[in-house]
Amino acid sequence: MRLRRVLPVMLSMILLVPLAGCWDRQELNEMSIVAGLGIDRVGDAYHISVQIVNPAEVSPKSSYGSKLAPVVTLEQDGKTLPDALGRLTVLTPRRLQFSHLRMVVFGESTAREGLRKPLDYLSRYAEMRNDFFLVVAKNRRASDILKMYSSMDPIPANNLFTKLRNSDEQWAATSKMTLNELLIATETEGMSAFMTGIEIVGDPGNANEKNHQEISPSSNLEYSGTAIFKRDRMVGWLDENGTKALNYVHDSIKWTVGYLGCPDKGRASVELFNIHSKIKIRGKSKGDLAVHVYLTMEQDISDVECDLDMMNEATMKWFDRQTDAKVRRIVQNTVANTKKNLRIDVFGFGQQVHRQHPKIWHRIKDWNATYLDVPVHVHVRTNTRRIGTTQQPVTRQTEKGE
Amino acid sequence: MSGTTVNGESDAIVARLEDNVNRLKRESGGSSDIKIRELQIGLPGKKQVHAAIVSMEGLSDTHDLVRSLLEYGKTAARETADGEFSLPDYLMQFVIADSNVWKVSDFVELYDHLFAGNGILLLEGETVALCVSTQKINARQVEEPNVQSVVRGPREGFTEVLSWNMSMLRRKIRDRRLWAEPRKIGRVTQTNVLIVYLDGIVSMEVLEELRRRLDKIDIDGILESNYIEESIQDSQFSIFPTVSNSERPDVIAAQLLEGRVAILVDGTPFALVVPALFAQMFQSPEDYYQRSMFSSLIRMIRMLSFILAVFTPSLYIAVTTYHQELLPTILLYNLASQREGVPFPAFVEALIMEVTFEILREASVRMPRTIGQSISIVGTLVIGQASVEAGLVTAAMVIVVSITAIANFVMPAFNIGIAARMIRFVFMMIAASFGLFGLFLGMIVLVLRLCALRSFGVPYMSPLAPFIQSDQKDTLWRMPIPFMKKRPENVAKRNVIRQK
Repeated sequence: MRLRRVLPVMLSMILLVPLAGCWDRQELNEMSIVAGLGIDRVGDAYHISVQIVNPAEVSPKSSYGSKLAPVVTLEQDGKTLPDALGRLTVLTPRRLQFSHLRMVVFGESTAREGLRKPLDYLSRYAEMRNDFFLVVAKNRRASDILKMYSSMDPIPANNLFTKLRNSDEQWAATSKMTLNELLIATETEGMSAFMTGIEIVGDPGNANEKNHQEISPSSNLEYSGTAIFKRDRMVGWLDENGTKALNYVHDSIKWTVGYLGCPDKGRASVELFNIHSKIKIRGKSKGDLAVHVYLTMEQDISDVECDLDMMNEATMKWFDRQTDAKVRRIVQNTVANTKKNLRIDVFGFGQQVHRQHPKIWHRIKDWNATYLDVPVHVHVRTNTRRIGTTQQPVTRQTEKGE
Repeated sequence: MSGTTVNGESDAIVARLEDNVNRLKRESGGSSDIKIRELQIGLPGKKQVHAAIVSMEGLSDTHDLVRSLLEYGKTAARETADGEFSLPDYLMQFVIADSNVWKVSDFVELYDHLFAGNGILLLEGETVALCVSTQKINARQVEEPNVQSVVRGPREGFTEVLSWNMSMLRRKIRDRRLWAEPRKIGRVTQTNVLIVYLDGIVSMEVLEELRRRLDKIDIDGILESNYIEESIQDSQFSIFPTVSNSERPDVIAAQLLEGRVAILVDGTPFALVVPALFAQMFQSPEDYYQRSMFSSLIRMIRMLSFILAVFTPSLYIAVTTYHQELLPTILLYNLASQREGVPFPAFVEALIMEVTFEILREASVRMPRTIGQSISIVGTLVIGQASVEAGLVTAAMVIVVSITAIANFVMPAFNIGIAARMIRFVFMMIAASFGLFGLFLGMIVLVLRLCALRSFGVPYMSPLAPFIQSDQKDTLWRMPIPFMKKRPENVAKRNVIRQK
């Protein structure tokens, strides 16, 4: 009786050793925190670069004095990703720790060859979390990106991470992509994966150790455009307006700013928020499908450089219509451009067809081919909410004062 | 009780005064604090009677007794009905002015009275001695309690004198139902112990159990209430105390009103209370002297402190050595940069700091008050700052240990703080070898252990486990006094209505 009570306790105690024993204990100073991972494909091998943090140089009170770089980027080749990482141990002083990975960068040529293989490792490796962002290096190898100093954050990968998160929230022309979203997008019929592009502006040749002490960095990393994938293969780039359109349709803009041309000369700026999109697929058969994108948004007027009577209700209506027209134009141009140049459905309308008309969907063999003939209608409704803390434009006020 | 006799002699007091006196001297080894005053008592119509007053120096004041006997001798010519009384009775009835006189006929009782401070009057030709209450109490006055201090509330604490302590309780509870059962425990020390309870409210099971356990005690001496605590506690090797103590009469009175039993021990200002439950350890008397919202908040902070005191170092060790992915990235960079160049694993680091702190704490309790300053300087500056600057310990670890140490002293019951200190080390070891997984298993074992404990038949974790709805008003938080209409049901099983 007593044994039966004690035995489970004893067994679970013994189980503790293999399940959670000291074997995987790792002190903080016995590991290298990987902040950025770059993946390039060279021939049939991988060229990987890891940006590891040098903690002593990151701390606010470094006793060693800032003589060393805050991060070290190490590169190695290997037939597979794990192979390359294994080979990397001859370069790294400590075990690599991937749980705090912030950025994964793919070289453009690698992305064009297809990401399926490297993505498998990233999603399979248990130590990695999946909250890092994935980007494509425009016209460059990923390792070039990870070799750049950042001017604000001592850890460039961390800098890239916060940079992308911020601009994703405050600017419509960037979008963050995490591993899970990417995997879903690449594997789902009727969806297209996309990743923000990153490029080096300025002279990268100057990216030496002096760079981080300059007030105006001579070179910097900038997000620009969006890489569009057909399945796992990159097929082309969307420009700034294209990215905006993508984000409008995907309902992934929190807040952004735009400008409108005035009736006379000059421009007016608006802040857009509360932006929501709804996609409706209309049609009875494969032949007469039509995509309707409904966008609703609110705007605040933030800057008026032209002569408009802001106290007139008709002016507000005018602002509404102008924004409607501009957003519609952006989306429709992008639809037309991508149909013409990329020849794929970058917006993922196919998925909506699948959801809203499953019967029709199953009769479609190649959605991307079908899509080219499907008309896309964009309906935008904007409401002006606030005009700011002054009423008439300053130009008007000063003219009257004179 | 034959321990007081020598050579199998009879205990009886003999008629010859000289023999009695000699025996006293012999059996007490001629101790100089036993004073023997010999005198002649003049009695009406009789010749003078030879007598001796035996008393303890410092414990008794026999001045009044001697004077009343001698005064009587001078006015002995007065006619009285002395023939009707024997001499001792006569003295008891007419002569001795002190409040209490006992007639004893054997040395066992005589010694009891003598060492309690009573004056012993031995008379030539009599086989009884008179014991007169001449006690003089030389003791510390009632002072403010040192250990359990409050901002608002009574400022008096128990002293070392049992009768004073009892009187303080009596002053708070003026009811005939406040019963005090005397006991004498300790074969050599003969310590007076009182079992105090409120008749009609106290749980009879607890009281019976307590009496049984007290009766079992066979020990030579009781010098402090802990001698009794350890003899009556439920589990000898439990880290958690199952008997609580207090040096505050107001706390004991409140506990009595809840139906608990108090044990007052002569010679110590700390009274014991049973049953003692886990939730009770987080209740300070001040909880009831401040408004309930504030008390509830503070009580929750105390419980949080307990959790901090037990788990902070172990959680830190587990997370930094096994589960780095749980840390926010920036915090990880920060901690990693601090750990650069620290030669010890986090566990050893924590152990060094914890042990150092325990040494400091012990030193500050034991050292002479006058050199207290130097210890605190060495403790804070040398250990805290210098070890970080030398790179032997991380600043984060110093913070963790400091939080732990401070949180530890929040406990109103000092003994639960000691328990927290001890299990902290156990959990640190578990965390160092098994990480969070082990830590959580350890927590489960701890909770199971707590739930299995009992204090005098009452489940230790009640009213949380088993859950008692009506007792929740005064467990994790305290409801305003008008809402507390019932006594705790887990303790006072009968007569639970407190107010209507």
